[in-house]
Amino acid sequence: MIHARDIRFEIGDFRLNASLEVGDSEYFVLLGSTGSGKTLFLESICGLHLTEGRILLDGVDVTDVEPGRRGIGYVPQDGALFYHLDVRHNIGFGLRVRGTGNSTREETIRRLARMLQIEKLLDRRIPGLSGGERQRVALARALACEPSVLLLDEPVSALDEFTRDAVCRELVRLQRATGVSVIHVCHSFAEARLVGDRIGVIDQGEMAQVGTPDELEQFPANAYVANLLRLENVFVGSARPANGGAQIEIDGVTLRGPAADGRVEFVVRPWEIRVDNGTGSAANQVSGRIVEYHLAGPLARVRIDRPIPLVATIAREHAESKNLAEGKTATLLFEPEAIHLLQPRTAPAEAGTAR
Amino acid sequence: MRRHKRTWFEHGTVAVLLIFTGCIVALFVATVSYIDAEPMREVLTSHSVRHALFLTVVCSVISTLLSILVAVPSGYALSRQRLRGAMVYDILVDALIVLPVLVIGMSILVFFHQTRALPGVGGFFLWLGNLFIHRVPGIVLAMFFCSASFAVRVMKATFDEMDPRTEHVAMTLGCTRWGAFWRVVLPQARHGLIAAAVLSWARAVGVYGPIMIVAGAVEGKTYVLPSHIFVDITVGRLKAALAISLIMIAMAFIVLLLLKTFSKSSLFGAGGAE
Repeated sequence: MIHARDIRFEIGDFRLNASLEVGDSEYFVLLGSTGSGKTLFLESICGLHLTEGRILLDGVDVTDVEPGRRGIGYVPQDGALFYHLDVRHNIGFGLRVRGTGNSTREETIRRLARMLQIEKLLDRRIPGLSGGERQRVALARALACEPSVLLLDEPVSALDEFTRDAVCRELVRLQRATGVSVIHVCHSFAEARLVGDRIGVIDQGEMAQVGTPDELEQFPANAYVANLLRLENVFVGSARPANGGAQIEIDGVTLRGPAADGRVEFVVRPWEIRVDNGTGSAANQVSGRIVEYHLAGPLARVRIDRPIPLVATIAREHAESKNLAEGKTATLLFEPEAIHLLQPRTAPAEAGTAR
Repeated sequence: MRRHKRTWFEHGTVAVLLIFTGCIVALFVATVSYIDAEPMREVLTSHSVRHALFLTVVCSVISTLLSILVAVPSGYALSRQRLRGAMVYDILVDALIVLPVLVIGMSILVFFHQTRALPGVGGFFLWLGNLFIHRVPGIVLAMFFCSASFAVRVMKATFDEMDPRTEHVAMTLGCTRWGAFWRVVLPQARHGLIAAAVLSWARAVGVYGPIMIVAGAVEGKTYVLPSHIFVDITVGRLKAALAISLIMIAMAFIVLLLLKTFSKSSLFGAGGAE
């Protein structure tokens, strides 16, 4: 278990001020855009920066402990392998530094190589390895010292899409097999969803929201989180209280939504919108010409751009039964509950340090 | 299989390279063709030349070692540390590359003259001056000040090219900062180290002006090969000077050939990391 409390660090104009708690055997993802401070936060946990705040590992305060004695395994982007050593010596590097005997070291190297399916690479030099192979070697090197926490800084960002997914699944398998807690840094929600038990979104050095992938998708804290999750139907409107809820005006369209007053930012969840060609009814109905109709597996994506740009994600079967097509007119129907109000970006979510 | 057809641009670059290397070859051929066996035999059997060769090799090697000892930490500090006034350090290091070497020699001489009058430490500098001025250690000192900056520059460029995260990883794997430097940074910088050593050695071997100013040019005592060449030319012994030049050309080729063979890569283009 890792508990980073009030980690503060300043570098130039940038200020990091974040807390985090990751449970035993949990796969946690730290999600943020470029320059949000996620790598800095990770390096602070490693002990590579002198920061304010406390870092507890399994209840032990390691704030003033050297990086090598914290029990943390660190895998930076593209592995940062040691080019002057072959794969075997890369994996065994930490054990050698710690003075582990030759036979134990070799045994550990072989066990990890087997686990990560890189046995055939043990005598290879680093320059000839592919991106995926390098990541596996870097993982084996980090795991060799049996860390209680594994920190992965964008471990798959340098890989092609196919390899990326395969390595992500392997990371999860490895984490489940070893029981090690993982903090995985990335900037893609798709990647985070693939691996993470929980996701923490970091924005401008502060934790904006922490939750499960579903929680984040259903209830994004603010527009930054919604945008990072690539949620569509994010609007800014003007709300006034009405019948226990609110009437929200955007571009001449009035929607019924949850209680609010004044300027509001909100998202209309695309998967809670139904599409009809005139027969259905709901609290909110927006009719327009379909400008995008795209089938992808069991889902269909329907988009109208007027009177407001609105996207619906519906079942393919339903879409086909309604004979939807680009150029046709459709009515998008949704209840007030499909509207989720977003907080202003400057105020981090209540769940910021929560677990 | 179809062969790659060179464009006019590629032909142009190759042509410039050929002309340049052709000029170098022409220089060497001219030197070799001017000398006959007699002055060569005379030079090879000369006690003065052999002593100068010995001094040149020993002093340049010591100077190179000193340069590397200074260049590695200095280059690392310039590359990795956030130094206040880093530009000032940069300018000072580069000054020794830009300045005419005669100015460096004069400065060394004047330094010992001026510091011997300092109250309290004057005696120490006087002793130091006596150790270097017009003596063999003065050759090393002059060579060092003329060549160390080249090594610092190469080492800084080498460390700049290396990913600092490899050090971070080494530290999380149990290394201290020094341990990470020793076990990871330095081995990965080996090509840069070799390039720095070759550059500073070449510079050290080539200087004679500052050596003549600091250590003098006493035959059989503080003569190095370049000063031998210079003196031979000034007294009209052109063939002897060219014969010594040939020795220096051979030295340079042997060193470059050995280093190329052992490092198995381009010395000055390899940088630090592979």
